Amino acid sequence: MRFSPSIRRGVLAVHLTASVGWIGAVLAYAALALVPAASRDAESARAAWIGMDLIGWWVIVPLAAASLLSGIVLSLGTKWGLLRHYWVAISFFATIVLTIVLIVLIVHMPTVDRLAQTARDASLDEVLALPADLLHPLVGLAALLGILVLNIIKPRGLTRRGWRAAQRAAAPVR
Amino acid sequence: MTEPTPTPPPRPRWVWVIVIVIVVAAATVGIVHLVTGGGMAGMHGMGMVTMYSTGGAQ
Repeated sequence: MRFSPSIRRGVLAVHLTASVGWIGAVLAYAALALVPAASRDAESARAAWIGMDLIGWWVIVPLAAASLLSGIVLSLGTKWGLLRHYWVAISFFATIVLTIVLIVLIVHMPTVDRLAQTARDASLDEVLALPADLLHPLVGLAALLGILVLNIIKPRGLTRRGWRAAQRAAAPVR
Repeated sequence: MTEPTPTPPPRPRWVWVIVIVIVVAAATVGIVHLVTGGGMAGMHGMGMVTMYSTGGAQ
């Protein structure tokens, strides 16, 4: 199924908004993450942890999910397909890993949740003793920028699946 | 006479470059986690967060 131009533009607008918004949200998260890492002000660190928790659940997770879903819809409704071109397939799998594995389920948000809860209740000395979290947003930011560059350049290269589809499309009808 | 079966083209070089970059980055992050005791996740894994949240550090 191919989208009409107006639908394609609409889905593309959603995808771009979600994806670029995701990058912006990670930058905001990284700015807050600098506070506990660099400051000795416990109240600021406490506020930063609470802000990171809110940005994570209310901005980063929804935008990541919207980016993933709109990307899937966009690829399936256009000539690119989901697994036909390497740049689409790599972007797809990288987004899945970032969204589901790293952010939501395993590594990040459950831990941020607990740290933010701890920062709310703990004494000022304990807040200052909490670990910093600069590595995760910086790695995530690098990965997102890599996907962004890939999506802008759209380097050539068909997957085997895409190559077979192109062969079928080019074959003469008998 | 049968036509030769077409073979798919090899993977472009840039795909391998990206795969290597991802593997190196993942390994680096993994090593950093190991060396620093797991960073934030390690603190949680060691029970530090639970300890603080239950007041056990006082």
